[in-house]
Amino acid sequence: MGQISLVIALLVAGYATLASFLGAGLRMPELALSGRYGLYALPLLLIIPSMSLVDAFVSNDFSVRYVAENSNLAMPVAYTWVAMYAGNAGSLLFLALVLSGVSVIAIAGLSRKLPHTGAYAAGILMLTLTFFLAIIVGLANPLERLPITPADGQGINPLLVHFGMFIHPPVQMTGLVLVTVPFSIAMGAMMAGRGGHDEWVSQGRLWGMITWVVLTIGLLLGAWWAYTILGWGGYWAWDPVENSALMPWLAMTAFVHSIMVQKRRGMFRMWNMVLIITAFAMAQMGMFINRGGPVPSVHSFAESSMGWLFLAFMGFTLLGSLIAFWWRSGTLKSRETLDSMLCRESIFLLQNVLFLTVALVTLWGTIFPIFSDVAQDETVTVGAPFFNRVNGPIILALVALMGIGPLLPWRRATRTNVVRALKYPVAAGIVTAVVLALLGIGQPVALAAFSICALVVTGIIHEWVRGTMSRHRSGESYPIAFGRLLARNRPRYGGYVVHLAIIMLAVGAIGSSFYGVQRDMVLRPGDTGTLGDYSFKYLRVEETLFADRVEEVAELEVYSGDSYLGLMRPFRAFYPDFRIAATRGAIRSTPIEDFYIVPSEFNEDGRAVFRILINPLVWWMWAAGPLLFAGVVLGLWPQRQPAPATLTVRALSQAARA
Amino acid sequence: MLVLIAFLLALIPAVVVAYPLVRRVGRSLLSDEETQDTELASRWETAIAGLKNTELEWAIGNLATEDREWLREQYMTDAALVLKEMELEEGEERAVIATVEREMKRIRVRAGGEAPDSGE
Amino acid sequence: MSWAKFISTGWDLRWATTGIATVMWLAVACTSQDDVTLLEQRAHELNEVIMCPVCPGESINESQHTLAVQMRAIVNTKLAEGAAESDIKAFFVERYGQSVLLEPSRRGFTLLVWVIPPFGAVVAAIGLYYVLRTMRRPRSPVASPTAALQLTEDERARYFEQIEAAIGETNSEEQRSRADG
Repeated sequence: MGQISLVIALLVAGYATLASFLGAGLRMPELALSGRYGLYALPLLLIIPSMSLVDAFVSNDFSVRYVAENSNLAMPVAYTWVAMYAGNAGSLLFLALVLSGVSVIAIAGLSRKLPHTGAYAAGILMLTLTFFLAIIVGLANPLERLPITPADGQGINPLLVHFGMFIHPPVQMTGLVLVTVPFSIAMGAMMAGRGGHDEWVSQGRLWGMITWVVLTIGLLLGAWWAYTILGWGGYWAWDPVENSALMPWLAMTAFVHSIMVQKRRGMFRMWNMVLIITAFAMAQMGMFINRGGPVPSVHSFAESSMGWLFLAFMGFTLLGSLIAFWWRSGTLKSRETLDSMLCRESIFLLQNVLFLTVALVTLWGTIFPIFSDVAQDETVTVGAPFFNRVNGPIILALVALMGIGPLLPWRRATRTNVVRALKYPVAAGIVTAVVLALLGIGQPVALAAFSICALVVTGIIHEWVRGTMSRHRSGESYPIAFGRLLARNRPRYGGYVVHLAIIMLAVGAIGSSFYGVQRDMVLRPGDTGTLGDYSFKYLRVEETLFADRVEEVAELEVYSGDSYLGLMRPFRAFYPDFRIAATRGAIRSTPIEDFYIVPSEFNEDGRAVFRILINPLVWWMWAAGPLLFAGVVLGLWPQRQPAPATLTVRALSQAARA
Repeated sequence: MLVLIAFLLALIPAVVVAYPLVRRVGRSLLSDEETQDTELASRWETAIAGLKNTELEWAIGNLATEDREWLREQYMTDAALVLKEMELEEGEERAVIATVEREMKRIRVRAGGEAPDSGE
Repeated sequence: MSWAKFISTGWDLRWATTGIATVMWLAVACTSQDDVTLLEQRAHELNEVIMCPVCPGESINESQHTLAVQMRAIVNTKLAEGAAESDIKAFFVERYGQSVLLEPSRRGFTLLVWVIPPFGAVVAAIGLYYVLRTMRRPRSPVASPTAALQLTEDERARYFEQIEAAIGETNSEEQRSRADG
């Protein structure tokens, strides 16, 4: 029944696409409405195959090929949820389901005020959904049956059996597919001829921010998962799949900022269109790299030729968007001008350019091996060292801009402005650099980075203090003044909270990148070792045999100086079927540093090789996540605007004449 | 059995999708708001928002007084131009209406040979 | 604000002290574990740029594969014997090809990968400058009919009064709602 539902869904989605576009283009409201109703019906149609799949997993129905490939009898029921999207076909169904649901919410909200835009937007969303469904029905059907039912399934990649796997992939995938929404709103408005009118901007900004926060959380979860499970003490490897998720994030970060300029000043219209088209193309490219495997990665689903279809679809939508853009570019011209070369608007544009530069450098580095293969028949690897070296300075410049930008006035910033605004932050930066240098932080890049972080934080805190003081002067107590300041200017202060979270992330990244220490050591039971202030004694290893793996759990007593910290139990599991060993490090995390033990191997003669790491400040990276989310919620929380709208204008004119 | 399920499953979206086509529910409203009014209103709101933001930033201390004055001048001028345009529009409207009324009076006079009404 | 005034204001002093204390804490957190020897440091840096040939995209530092562990041992041994970093890299390249290095070489075709980004950045900077200049040029009067509208002195005064009144209205609305809660 699930399969039937999928086919019907495909037909309905295809119809909705055509009906929406034709209805919008030919100005036939009934057709557009019919398309919209089809859109509304789709989530229901897609729930059915999803439930079928869940049921097949839960009941261990190995006649379904996808279930046989991604689970086995030994798998705990809880991980069924994970297996659903662990494979290519299942994840596509997940994407389709999410897209259908999100489309309903977006279009319902959009069509009330902007039906013409909404019709085009619906068409775009449904076009994407039709593509996914076509692939599912045609090539990657998760409900496909096997001719012979195997007795047991293959099980999922053991690296995926971790709590993080519950949330990282679905969140990440949701983020990528969410990019479609602001894209469709912007393009829809432009195609409806409303590109010069900015009514779509508030919805566009809302969905842009939602997309951005989901993508950010997805990336953070991925980093956290890599850190806690993969056992190398790091969290970002500039792996092609990671890069392909980063690029749309960079474009969306640029977008949520420059859309603000469009909201305030009606400028950057063409730029924002190009930006959202780029973001969407990059999200598509992400799916291509993830599934097509042109560049090898630890992440990829099994290699398949399907990836090229994604690339083709990306090319098709890119071409279509650019044609539509060229057709309508006349309507996007802004009547506003810049009053000065230096102002907050131009800083936003500079920031945008820098974000896109990072994205393009990342793209360049990721696909360069393909060029190299073709050009000189020799495979080259472009790995983390390249990206760190090239992107590092640009990212540092972006963090600095994050501090400077909000301090400059709109429209025109004079030299006096700049000096005034930057006095304290720059002073703080310099003082920070001096203090750090005196205390032993010698590496110039780390020094510069920390100083810039100090600059940004000082700018933000200083404004908060001044704002609170100014309200306090009109009679409110400090806590109330502060609370009201935030509550009455939510987008502004929500943004500041997010910036603070980014600084926490930066601090964690700087500390762990530059000041992490590690050591590999060979220990026998009873041996002790030291690293820094920590000393640890290797007690024993326990081996347990499970149906699908051999687990070796080591026990170590850990001391910091003289105080006993506890037992740490890192382990290593070997899966003979997959020939993969999964290590799980034991981590002891404090805001100061993480103490991390990973077992590399256990030998028969009792010797064990451990890697010990100390990573300063990593805790702050993970703590930044909830703060960032809170900042976005604050920024998006609807604020009651007593709007002096048209009515007042009329009233004023009449009063003037009287 | 399977055919029956397939049929039922297809029926629901088919009905839903056909409904607007059959009942001609489509309001003629397939256009987003497009009037000169909206354009003016949005310019007005942008200017007012800019003024308020300027006040906030000045109160906080981000802006020096002279910058605040300059920005206020800009935004107030923008808003004033909106008001002026509105007045001009209404002036034009009234001029058009007056012209039409005069024409109509003339036609009535010519048609009926009667003295012009002191008219509505 | 003069320095004398700065120092004499209690609040500012408190903020400054908190700030400096935070920075000091940062420094302590980062440098408390200065335990690695130079040899270990060099080995670590090398390990991060050599790829494990059987684990795509992972350095021998990251990977726990048996081959990676062996390669780390080789690096350690050679460094202890006094080999230079370039020798060790060449050693691995001989066995596994150029692709074993995670950092692409700066010779030949691969030089392109290093050169294009800064070149692109410069182009982008110039482009940005010109775009900003264009946005700055005042629009031709034909483009927007209202641009030709000017305000007379009386109009200006009158309108500004109305605008102030409008804002005052909304401000008092806000205050009313503030009072209400």
